Amino acid sequence: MQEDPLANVFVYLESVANVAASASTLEAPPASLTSASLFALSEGRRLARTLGASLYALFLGSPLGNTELEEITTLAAAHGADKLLVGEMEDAPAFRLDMVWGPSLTRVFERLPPAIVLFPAGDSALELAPPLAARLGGTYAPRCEIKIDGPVPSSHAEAQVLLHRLRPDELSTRSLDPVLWEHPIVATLGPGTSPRPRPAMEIGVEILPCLSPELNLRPETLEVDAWSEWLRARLLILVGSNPASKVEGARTLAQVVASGLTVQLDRNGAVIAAADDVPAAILEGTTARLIIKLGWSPARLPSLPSTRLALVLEASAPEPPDDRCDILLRLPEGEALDDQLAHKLLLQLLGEEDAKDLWS
Amino acid sequence: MSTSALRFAVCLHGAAVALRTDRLHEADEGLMCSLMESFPGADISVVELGASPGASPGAVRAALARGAKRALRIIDGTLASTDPHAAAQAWRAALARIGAPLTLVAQAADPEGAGVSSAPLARALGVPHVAQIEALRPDAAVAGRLCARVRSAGRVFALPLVGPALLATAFEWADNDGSSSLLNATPGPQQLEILTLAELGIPGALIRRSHDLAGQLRPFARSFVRCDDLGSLTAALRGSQR
Repeated sequence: MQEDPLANVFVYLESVANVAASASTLEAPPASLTSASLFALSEGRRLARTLGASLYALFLGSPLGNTELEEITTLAAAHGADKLLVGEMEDAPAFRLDMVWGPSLTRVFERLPPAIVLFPAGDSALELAPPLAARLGGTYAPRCEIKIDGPVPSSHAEAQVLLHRLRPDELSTRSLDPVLWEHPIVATLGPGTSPRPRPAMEIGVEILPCLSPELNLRPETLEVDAWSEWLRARLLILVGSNPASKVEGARTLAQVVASGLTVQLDRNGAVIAAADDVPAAILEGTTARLIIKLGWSPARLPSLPSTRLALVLEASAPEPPDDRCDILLRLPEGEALDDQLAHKLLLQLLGEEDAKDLWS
Repeated sequence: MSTSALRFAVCLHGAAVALRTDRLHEADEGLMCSLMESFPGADISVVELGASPGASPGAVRAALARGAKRALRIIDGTLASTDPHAAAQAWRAALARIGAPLTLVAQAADPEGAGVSSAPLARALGVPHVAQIEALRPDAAVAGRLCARVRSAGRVFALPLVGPALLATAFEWADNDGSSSLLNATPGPQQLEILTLAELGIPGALIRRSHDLAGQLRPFARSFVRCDDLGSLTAALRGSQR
């Protein structure tokens, strides 16, 4: 494989083991890749194909067993990687802080200079991507979507490739053309579904030993982060202050959510919770493609350019103080924004079988 | 532990060069409120970089009214067309005047997106960049040490802070509609210092001009659909998904 220093596309792979731990033991499940990582790989494949670049998948973690390595290699190959780089650190700490993994990432990119590094939706992106861009003297582009205009498949001579992101003011976007760009781009992507895997094929695997940094501090694990899956959710449902509590005898939506409705990611990549309960750090890190607010809440969530925000209000609810919504439903007079209505919406949107995952 | 001996520097506007300096971003205000609550009496300095000499100092005034002891504004037209890597040199010089070991940046106040400006600043300062910090408290175990609550890799950690660092925070936002009477507070002359890059000892040539490092700017507008019932909402949601 040609290692053209101007044409290397990298995709950082996040392991399920790094984002999900057992609530009782804090033990990580066996290594596998998050769906957001597989989506990022497929997006990297699209980019690499158009740019005529090599696509490297990059996995960092504790030394893998043969089965785990085989599983990750198979997934990386099936989703388009030309080569898998595995950075292994003995006694790797559970946390993904830049002070631990940043030096290892830098060593990889000193040897194989990247044109583009893609991070999948998830907390590794928030922690590792900005300092990596700073080290590379490149551009950090959070919450990007990849847009390729031209025939499919096409080369960069025939197509325009853009990494497109919405600025937080939601009044403007920034677009980067990696063909014309002189600096490395470190971009984070939103969640998505990857296309059907390609037939199994052999790819090269390189194991890179990573030095465990001398840290003069040791973080202490407090708890499993029950909210971390929100960072990879494709559909967020936020329940605002619920006016239906005024209806005598009604079981309000807020009560339903508070009584333990799941906040885990279901198979649709959907989550639901009371807006007031979601930590600011999680809200700021989400990149959902669809956000439904049941009742207004002040929570402001970052968006991808294609993210759509729907707001459902009762007839008597006052006009929301901001106008950041694409789809508005004001319920007819007398219809309450309660758990029954929410359930009905999920049934219509997801279908009966899938709605069960979210609403049981 | 007395918290009055602690010193913090807060970089307003997410450590970006501010386009609007007339009001404090809700994330910056949340950071200030949280610091004052956790460390009453602490020595907090705020720093702001702006490009327009005539711009209102509303943000730093509000920060002073929230309890900051000192504000430093670096106002220089050269900053209008700089990138985060070059702007970090100006931030570094400004922070050297403050001399606080811990620099805090509210991630969400960055007009370009979380981490675009704070990570280059950490690089320029030569200190670790720790993101996703949702609380900062005195460390109960060691007097004089601070402890950050951090989300990482599916867990929540207590991270003891040893030595200088740049903390990119995601504290709860303050409820701020921009009309607070605090904006009208008048700082004392010893509290607010305004300097140019030259006065800071930075040659203008160091702040290289590279608009393009952020990417091409284009206007964006949302589409809007009004629905009458649940069925039309579902259809609109389905239709809007790519």
